[in-house]
Amino acid sequence: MNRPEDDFPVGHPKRHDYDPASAEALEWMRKNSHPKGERDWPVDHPAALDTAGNTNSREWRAGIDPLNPNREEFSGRTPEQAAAVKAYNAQLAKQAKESPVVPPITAPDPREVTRAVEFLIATGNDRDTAEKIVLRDGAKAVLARAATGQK
Amino acid sequence: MPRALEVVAGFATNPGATLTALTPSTGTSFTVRGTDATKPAWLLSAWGFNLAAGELRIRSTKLHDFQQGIRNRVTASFTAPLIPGHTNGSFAQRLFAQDALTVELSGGAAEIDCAACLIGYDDLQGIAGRFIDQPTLKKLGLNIVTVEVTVVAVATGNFGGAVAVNSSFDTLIANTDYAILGGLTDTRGCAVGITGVDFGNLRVGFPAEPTLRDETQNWFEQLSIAFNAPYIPVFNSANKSATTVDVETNGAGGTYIVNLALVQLAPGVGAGLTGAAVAGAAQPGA
Repeated sequence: MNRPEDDFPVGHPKRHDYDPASAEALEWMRKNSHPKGERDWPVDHPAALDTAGNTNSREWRAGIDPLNPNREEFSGRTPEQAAAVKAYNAQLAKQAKESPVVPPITAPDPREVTRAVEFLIATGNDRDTAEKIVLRDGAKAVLARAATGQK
Repeated sequence: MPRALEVVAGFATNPGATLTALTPSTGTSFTVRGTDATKPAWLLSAWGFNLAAGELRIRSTKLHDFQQGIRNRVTASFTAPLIPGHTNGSFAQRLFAQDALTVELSGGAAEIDCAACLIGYDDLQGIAGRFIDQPTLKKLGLNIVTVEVTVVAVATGNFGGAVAVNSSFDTLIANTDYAILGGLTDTRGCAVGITGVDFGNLRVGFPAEPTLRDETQNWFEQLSIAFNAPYIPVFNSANKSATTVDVETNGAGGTYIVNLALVQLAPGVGAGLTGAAVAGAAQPGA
């Protein structure tokens, strides 16, 4: 049987059977009465501060999952994984070499570099080898050899 | 002009509360390189990497004062530019040829703390690095390409783990110029360095900070825009095997995946030529 449409929901203050002490009335008040003013989110909304389990007070730091703040920043590794990687890095660091110190030079003219590389390719070298020879000897030296017909 | 750009770095071992003069990382020095005294050198940026918060102090009798000079708080585990942030305008500190900067750091009592300075030279004879400015990049730029390398840093406070830009993926086009806009790192350290013959074998670099991707990914481009000068390094792919990437960090070492943001350039940038020098060069699409 269809229930006729109610004018006001159960617990509403304007309903004919309003009982302010009833559970329905108290629930209606909780959800609809906001004596401090307009709310940002409805009662029980996940983003409302007074909703149990809301995440409003979580800190959203760069690189850190707020739901898993124990994980390593940016990598998301568990503490165990992070510790293992740290130990591995320490091992790698012992094997790593400091960068070689190279003497300052005048930057080579790329047009000379190109000509020198092309000359060496034309004389039978592959490009990788040609580039390495130019880096080792310098473009000017290679071009000087080219000018005198040497390889 | 024979322009040059160099990142110099150093470290202090267990400085604690004492402002401790940095030991320069191998191959670097806090003494400004010798240049024509009339040609300026500039302190373009500086940053520190501390595990415990401390102070970075840079001073010289030739700068404002020799008491506190340029003194800034280094917050823990955050490698951010301290002076002056060039990503939203900047003011460079004038430096003087052969002036020995006093660079000091305080920090933790049981750690290596480190710092870096980025110095620009308007005219450094014997270097003539290849740099372009923003308009030239816009004019000559063709394609964006990234270079990804893995650097295993040393734990001594020195630059280490140098690998060639083509060590992971050798995809650069032969005999082609590439501009380095900046780069990204996935791990925090002090500085990412890039060394190559096209920069006169000096090391250019940026902070090894994974949270400041908007600052580091086009670090050199922003530098160029902020100072209205050619500070975007350019290298030729023929020199790729001698163009290396390394990292300076603290005693933790670490494995760094570094992505350099490159732009392939159309032909036309000669040796040591700056943006002004190639202005007007006819380029496709310009």
